[in-house]
Amino acid sequence: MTKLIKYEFKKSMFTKYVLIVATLVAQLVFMFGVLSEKDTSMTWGIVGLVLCAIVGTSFIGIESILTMHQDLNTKQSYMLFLTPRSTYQILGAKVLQNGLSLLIVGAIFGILAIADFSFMVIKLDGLEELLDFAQMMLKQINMEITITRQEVFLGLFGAISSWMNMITNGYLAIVISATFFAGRKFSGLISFLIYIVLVIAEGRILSLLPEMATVDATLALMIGVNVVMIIVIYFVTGWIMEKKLNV
Amino acid sequence: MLASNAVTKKFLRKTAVDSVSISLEKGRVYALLGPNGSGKTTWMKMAAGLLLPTSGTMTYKGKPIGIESKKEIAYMSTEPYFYNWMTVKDVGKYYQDFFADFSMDRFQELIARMDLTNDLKTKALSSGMMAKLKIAVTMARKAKVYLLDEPLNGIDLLARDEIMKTIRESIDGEAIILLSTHLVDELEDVVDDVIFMKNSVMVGQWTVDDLHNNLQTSVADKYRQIYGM
Repeated sequence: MTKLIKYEFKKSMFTKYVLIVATLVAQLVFMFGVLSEKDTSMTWGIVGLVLCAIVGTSFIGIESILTMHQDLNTKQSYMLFLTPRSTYQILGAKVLQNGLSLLIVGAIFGILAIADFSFMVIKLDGLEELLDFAQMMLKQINMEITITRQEVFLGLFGAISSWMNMITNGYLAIVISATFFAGRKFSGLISFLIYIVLVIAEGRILSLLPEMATVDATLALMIGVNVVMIIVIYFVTGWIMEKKLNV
Repeated sequence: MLASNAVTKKFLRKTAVDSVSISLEKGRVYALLGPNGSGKTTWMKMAAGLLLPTSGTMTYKGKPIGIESKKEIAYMSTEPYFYNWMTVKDVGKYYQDFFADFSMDRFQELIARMDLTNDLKTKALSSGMMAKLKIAVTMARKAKVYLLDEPLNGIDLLARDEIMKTIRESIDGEAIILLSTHLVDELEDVVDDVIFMKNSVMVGQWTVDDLHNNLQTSVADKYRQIYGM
């Protein structure tokens, strides 16, 4: 399966190169603004970096669904489906690639944000103030560490599970369109409508969850339900591919 | 070894293959003949595991087509199917990553012979160069079954000679080779058996020796007889 994941990464490398170049440009504009103490450049740099982070991470998910569509509906599908791999492995590689891409890109932007902020404080306010600021932050984290660590973990995992849930919904919608509605008019529109129905249905399920005693417990329950839904959708999608898919 | 038993494939209201039973035995070279739309490609795609039969069974070594059969069956589609971002070298690496029977040395030998270079982008290849790349990467596998769909389609005489030479080199008395083509004359001295399809059904299967010795006809004349030319 690692080889399948490797090629899933390769398929989306062009977008990632574009994202890297756009981020570098925004970073250079930001650094120029800090070094020359020009507010306009600094602001544009920050706006560019924030846009790269938001648009980049969102597009990783969208691109993954578009790639799935291409892998099922063009002759390039032969590259995948001639290989001696099960549909579950093929689908699993796509899901994992997407999750890993999100984690890597998220981590890079997180590190970049910390580094840029530190650079800005050092340059504009001096090292002493940065150290004071870091000490103040550490104190605050220490004060709340028993509460926030769990919350941070749950929040992060909640975001990732919700994201993965949306992507697997997209895969299921495309597979249904490519199997039960193959060769029919408006299959693309049907695919989109199926996706909307799935998202609404899952939203309803999540809204039926009971109110828990604490926020953490509510988050944990939501994550658990999300994970169960991801697993169910993954197996349903894989099963439909195995039994119904013609490429 | 590779067999279809009353296999039918329907696409919406169109029947592409209608109750076709074919059995291919190891060590033989088969030609699958018929005009466009006769069901040749659909049958091959079912054998390769790309399409699922609507009814009937398609088996390899007695088991349904699936992961195990894909390890031993090399299919070459008539259409280009490589990823756009790939170079010739990437195509070889991809096959090496997924097929244990793939030989990179053999691939390099074949692409050199066919005047292809590793750095060429697949999206920039002409139809003739693409045909050469497809045959090179397929025949660089030491497969038990080769399914070659229109390997001589749309290419010049010299390229055709190279491709036929490569196919001949893979005839080893062990592998099954099944090729479909409209260029019937080129097959006469290569194939052992011919299978004719017309309007989604199989109309007959003969050995070339049988055609020559018992029916006193050639493959080309039998083709003309069946398809009314």
